[in-house]
Amino acid sequence: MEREAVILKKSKVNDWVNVMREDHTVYGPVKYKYDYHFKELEPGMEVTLEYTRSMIPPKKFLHPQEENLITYRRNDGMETTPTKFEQKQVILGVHPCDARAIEVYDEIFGGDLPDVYYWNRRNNTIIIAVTCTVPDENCFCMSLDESGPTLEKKGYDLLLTDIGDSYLVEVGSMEGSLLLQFEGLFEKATEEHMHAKDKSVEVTKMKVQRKIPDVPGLHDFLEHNYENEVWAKETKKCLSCGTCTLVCPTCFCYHVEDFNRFNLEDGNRVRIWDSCQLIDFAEVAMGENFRKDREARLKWRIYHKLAYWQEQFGTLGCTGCGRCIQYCPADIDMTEILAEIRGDKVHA
Amino acid sequence: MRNLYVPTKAVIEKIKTQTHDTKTFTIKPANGEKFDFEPGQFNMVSLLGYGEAPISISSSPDNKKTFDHTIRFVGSLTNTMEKHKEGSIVGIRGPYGSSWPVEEAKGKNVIFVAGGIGLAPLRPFIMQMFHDRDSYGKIQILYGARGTGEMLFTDEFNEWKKHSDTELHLTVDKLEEGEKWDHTVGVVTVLYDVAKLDPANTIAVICGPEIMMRFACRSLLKKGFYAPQIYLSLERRMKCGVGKCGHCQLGSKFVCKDGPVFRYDEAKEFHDTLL
Repeated sequence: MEREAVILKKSKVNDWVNVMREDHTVYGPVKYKYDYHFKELEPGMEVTLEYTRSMIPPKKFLHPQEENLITYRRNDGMETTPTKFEQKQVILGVHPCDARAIEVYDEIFGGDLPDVYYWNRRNNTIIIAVTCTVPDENCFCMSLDESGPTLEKKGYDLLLTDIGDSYLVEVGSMEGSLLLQFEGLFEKATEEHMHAKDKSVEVTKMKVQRKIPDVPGLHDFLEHNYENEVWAKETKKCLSCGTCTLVCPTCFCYHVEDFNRFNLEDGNRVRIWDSCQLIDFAEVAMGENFRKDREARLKWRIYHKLAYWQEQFGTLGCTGCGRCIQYCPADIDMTEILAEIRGDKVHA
Repeated sequence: MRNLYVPTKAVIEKIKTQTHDTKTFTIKPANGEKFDFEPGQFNMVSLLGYGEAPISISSSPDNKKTFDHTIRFVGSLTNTMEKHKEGSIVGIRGPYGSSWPVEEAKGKNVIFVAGGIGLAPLRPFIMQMFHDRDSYGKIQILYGARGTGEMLFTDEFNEWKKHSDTELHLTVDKLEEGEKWDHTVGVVTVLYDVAKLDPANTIAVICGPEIMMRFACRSLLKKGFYAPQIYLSLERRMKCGVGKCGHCQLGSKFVCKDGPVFRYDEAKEFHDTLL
């Protein structure tokens, strides 16, 4: 058999989580009110592996919304405090769109100037991805990666795929295979199980209906349409709230701020997620603001992800997860903006 | 893996007043290590409790023991900088970013066009050329400021002019009533006619407010320059200086890493500039 794989009965998922918890902090998608959220799995909590999307992507475990960079005493120097990892963290139930976004993050926070805070987390993180089975009308992963709802050989330590009453568990790394060394949980996988996976993936692919046509041509297409009137029309709806960037699995921008204690001596230099949609994002000293117009900010997000990212990081800045469409309070939808500029019929 | 965000301790050795709101701080790494940089690069200047800001280096690259930051007091970090004294400690991360075309300029004439505080990032290049005067052709420095009180490095101007084949042309936007001034009045581009610019075998380097650079670049094109002969330095919001925080992005570039010095033919293609 070409692929290294085992079978995990669905009824044993919680047992597996419990044994992993002995040596790892395990996070997974949990339903909370109307949405799914990645939370630390504690005894008695029900992890859900059949879900459409979490509101905040698992990026938060690698690039937290708030992270302390430096703890300082103003007259007495500083110490740096990258988070210490006593235990490795396991992120269970990562969808392929979000796993691909983590590969994008590896490029952003890597390169010739790697970010030690990111890599300290990343090198202590095990990703157990799950093939998506319930895409909804906002998903368009197929336009951006032909593997769509599943992953091919990379981007995961383990990959689960629902094949009925069990999960097929494929191994992507040595780290991942170490999580399969527990007695009595796993069974051998057969060719039949592999076929069941392939069949399930084919069915799911058919469900991903939303599309961005001609992705390789997006750069030129967007540059040619920078002045298109659709942008002004969409800008009228935009609230510049920044939700699209908060929920985006590839958005990485952060602000840095010093927080002083009341003694005015001690403090922390902290980085916090920022958003290019907020008015002061590109403002410099003396009030010059290079993206003070809402339209410039709205366009920047889409142009950055779909036109510029490829040259910058060698990948696209969108994985088709659909979050920016689902969570925008003003119903702004970049796939529909592109369709409208192309003159395609827009779905109502 | 080196931690990119930890500033190096440095001591302010000397402070020199330039104008009513601008001073030059001569700074030395506290560990005594040499500080190597290229003209046009910047540091993230770090004041614990106040944050960090990108500030260009204004001293000669030949001096590896200390470096200068010429700082205008316009924001919370820079206003705090004003209160610092000789002997005060600051944090430094850098040097970062791209540099002026020091090598390409060899054997060529160089025109400097500076507006206000924009002379500070150009000064290391000017100093480098004076230090290696024979490697370059004619030097023309065109400097404009809002008023006579806004000009930087005025006490060095006589020295600059003493170098062979070097011209310094000054202009101010406006004079106070009754103010005496032997130079030009008007925006910096009026100096283009005063200085008689020749595009042949010449490069132009420009630094100043972006709106000034817009007119400076466009007027050069009208004088027969080609965009690839022109270099400029862009100012953008920066929180990290190392291509991670995302604030300074223009097109597929990080101004902190791929800039701040860009060639005009590249820079003018970016959206969200005044160029």
